[in-house]
Amino acid sequence: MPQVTFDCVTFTYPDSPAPALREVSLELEAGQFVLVIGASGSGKSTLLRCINGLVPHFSGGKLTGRVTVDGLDTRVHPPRDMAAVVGFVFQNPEAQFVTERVEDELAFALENAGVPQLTMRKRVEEVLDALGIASLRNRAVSSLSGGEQQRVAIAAALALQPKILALDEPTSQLDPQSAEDVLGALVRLNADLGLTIVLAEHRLERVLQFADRVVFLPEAGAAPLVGDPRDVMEAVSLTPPLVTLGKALGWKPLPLTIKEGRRFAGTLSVERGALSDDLPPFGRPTSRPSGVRPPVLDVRDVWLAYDGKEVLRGVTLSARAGEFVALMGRNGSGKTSLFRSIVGLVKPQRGQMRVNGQDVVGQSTADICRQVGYVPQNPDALLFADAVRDELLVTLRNHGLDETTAPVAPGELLDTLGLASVASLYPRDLSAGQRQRTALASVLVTRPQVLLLDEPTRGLDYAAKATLTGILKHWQAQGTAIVMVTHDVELVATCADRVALMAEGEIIVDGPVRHVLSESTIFSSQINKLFGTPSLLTVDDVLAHR
Amino acid sequence: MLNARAWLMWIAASLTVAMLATNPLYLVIVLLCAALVRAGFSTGDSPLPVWRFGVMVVAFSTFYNALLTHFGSTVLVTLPRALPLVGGPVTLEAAAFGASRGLALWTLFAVSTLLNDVISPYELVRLTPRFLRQAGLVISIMLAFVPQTVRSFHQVREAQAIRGHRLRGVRDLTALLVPLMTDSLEKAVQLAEAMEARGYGKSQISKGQSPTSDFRPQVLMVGGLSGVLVGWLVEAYWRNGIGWAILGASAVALVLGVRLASSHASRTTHYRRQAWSARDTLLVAFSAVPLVAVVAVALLDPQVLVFYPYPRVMPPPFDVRLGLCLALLGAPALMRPSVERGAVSVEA
Repeated sequence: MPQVTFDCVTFTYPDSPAPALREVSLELEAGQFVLVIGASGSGKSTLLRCINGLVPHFSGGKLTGRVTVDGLDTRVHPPRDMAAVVGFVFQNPEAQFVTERVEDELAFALENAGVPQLTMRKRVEEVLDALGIASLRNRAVSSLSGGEQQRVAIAAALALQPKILALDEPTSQLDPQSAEDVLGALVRLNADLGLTIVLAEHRLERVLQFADRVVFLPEAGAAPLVGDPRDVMEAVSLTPPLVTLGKALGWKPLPLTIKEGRRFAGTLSVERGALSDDLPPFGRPTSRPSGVRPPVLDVRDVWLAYDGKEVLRGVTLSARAGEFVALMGRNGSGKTSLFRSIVGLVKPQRGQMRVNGQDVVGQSTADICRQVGYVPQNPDALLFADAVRDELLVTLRNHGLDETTAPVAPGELLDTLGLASVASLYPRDLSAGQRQRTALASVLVTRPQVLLLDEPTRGLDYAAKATLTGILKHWQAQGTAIVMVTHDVELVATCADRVALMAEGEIIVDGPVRHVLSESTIFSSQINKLFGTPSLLTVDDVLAHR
Repeated sequence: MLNARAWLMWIAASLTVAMLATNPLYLVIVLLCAALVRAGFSTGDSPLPVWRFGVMVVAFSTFYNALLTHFGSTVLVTLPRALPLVGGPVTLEAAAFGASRGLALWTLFAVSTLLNDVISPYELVRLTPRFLRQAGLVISIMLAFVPQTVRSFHQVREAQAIRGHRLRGVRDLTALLVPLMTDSLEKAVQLAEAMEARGYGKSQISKGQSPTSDFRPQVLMVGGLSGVLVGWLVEAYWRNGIGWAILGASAVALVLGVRLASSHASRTTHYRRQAWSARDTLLVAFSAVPLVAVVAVALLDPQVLVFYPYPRVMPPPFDVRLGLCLALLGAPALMRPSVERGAVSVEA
């Protein structure tokens, strides 16, 4: 008997014209690792919340059909009853904690369930070990890194010993290493304890290999596609680079891991040999003639220390007009601090920073930001107006401009960013990708010559990422210098000209994207891992030189 | 880790001493004890430097009293009588008395802020009676929200600054407040969802009765409380004994209500054992000795505790035995925590 059964489930949120799920029927077996995929807004969260009854008990709205989990009908049993069967982990690690200390957090559900103290202590020890977080037991949750917080959240959800663990994009707010830690923990729980895992996730390249089944939600209100990972990958269009290449070249069975892909890559060895010698630009220019134009952004020997810690140690970085520089490196290596120094949010102890030849050291943030557009990590912090269009007008007003004197006409800008259709909507009601682009629009409206982006693709699905890449390339072609902090190697491989790697507050490598990415072991794209030559970084590279 | 109850005893003892003994010499002893304990237990992120506040209070209180109180025989300077309020002699006595009152305030403040250092708010919440657990939980969540909100405020302020935002008028505040409030609201909804998903509130339902079906405890408690108040007022006006009767009956109702509420409270258990060690007993003992000593002296010979500089300032009396007793309040400084409390927060 299946553990989870959706029987012709249709669900509509309150005040929503169209259903979020329409006639969904599926069955999930106990002990499976189930991956739920689909674009933002396709109903992944809704589907997961049906499993523990948050939909419809918490969300409101209208549910028809029946969801049965471990023999319990969710229409009859509210989430607090389902908690004993289904553990749930949310996207934002910080927003799900009730107490201050890790141990108390793990015990919270047990205390509420009235579990005797001795049993409770045993359970807490068990989940601490299951997630490998015993060393964190006395820490304050607010002092943990995102990856640690998310593992604590998983442990807290497991304290009641549920049979199913549902996770709603638990890694979308994390950097790659933390995401890896969380996913690794899930794989272990699934393999060792036989826990059923239902995971919504964007980074297919990381989890596809572990999935027993994939549920693909094409769009809101369409019937899901459920099946073996390989079969589903054949049918969907937005796939990781390896799968995209495999499909384009007709590799069968479709490779899901680099290891599987290498077998096929070996058969392409003739072409590879011919390509591997030099680095001519193909498809897109890898470098522009240097020395012709002076750099628009010129940072020299910047030193920054705060709280007695050296955050930047003699950083030198420049970007020319129309150049796309990717800034990569571990969390805490100083990437964001560099951006904050450039726009004057923190004051470096020494160093020069010039924008368009003008010294910006000591200028106010507002003045610097007329020429330097900076989109911080959390775009929501920027947005507050009642409509997308108003966000642009607010920035203009801040700089003493209006619609007529704006360097870019707001309507035109919204058009290029694909936001024209939502111009009058409330920004926070939009999808993650649209919110990110609204934030981008609100800084681009002054037509800055330099654009600083801090992890713009965090939490975006493949489609939203592709849209954003297109927009950035458009601005790059218009002569904007772009510096982007990112962990996303695939994104860097498709759009950057240069890569700078930071470590411990210093830039340790700065060079053309092909050199840096192919010489690195961690910062290397899937395709590059497959072929191991600087000439092949992306699917397009391979297809162009077949 | 010392028990929260033992700490409460220590704090109660220190506060009582600071309130009963206005003699600056004794206050200085308590203040030094508090400083020692702070050095041993402080998590280092005290929101307000206590000594700076203390110096300010003492200075203010000294000047205030010196300028407004014109008694005392040691005149330092005489201000023109034409000045309202402050005009007249400024005496050393008035200044000394003001300083001693300021010192008392400083001591009270220093001891109360230690509460935050030695007992985490969550431990305090756990000490609340069972039927108040809901309220305790709300407070605990609120406390967790404060640092989160401070962080998002910094984020929002920076995000608006890079859009050229400057604070020029009330209208500009919306750019800071609206994102902050929407963010907090979103987080609150997420938290509610997370708590629901973890079975919060399940036990009340599974007892087989709706939690709202029985209003008796609420009626008894509210009725009892108002009855006590009414009884006290009646007694204060008419003094005929009826007030006492009302007061007594209401008190009984109040106690019944509390007991009933406790028995109705959700059946939850506690994870943390509030272990009571020999060190806790020691701490209570070291707190009890100065407490008993000060109370006894206050009843038998209050002059020893009080500093009254008028009409002519004299060095305050000092009883060495009492001083030694009070020094016991510094004992917890020697009971350093074995487990590191809290952790250093890491900038994301």
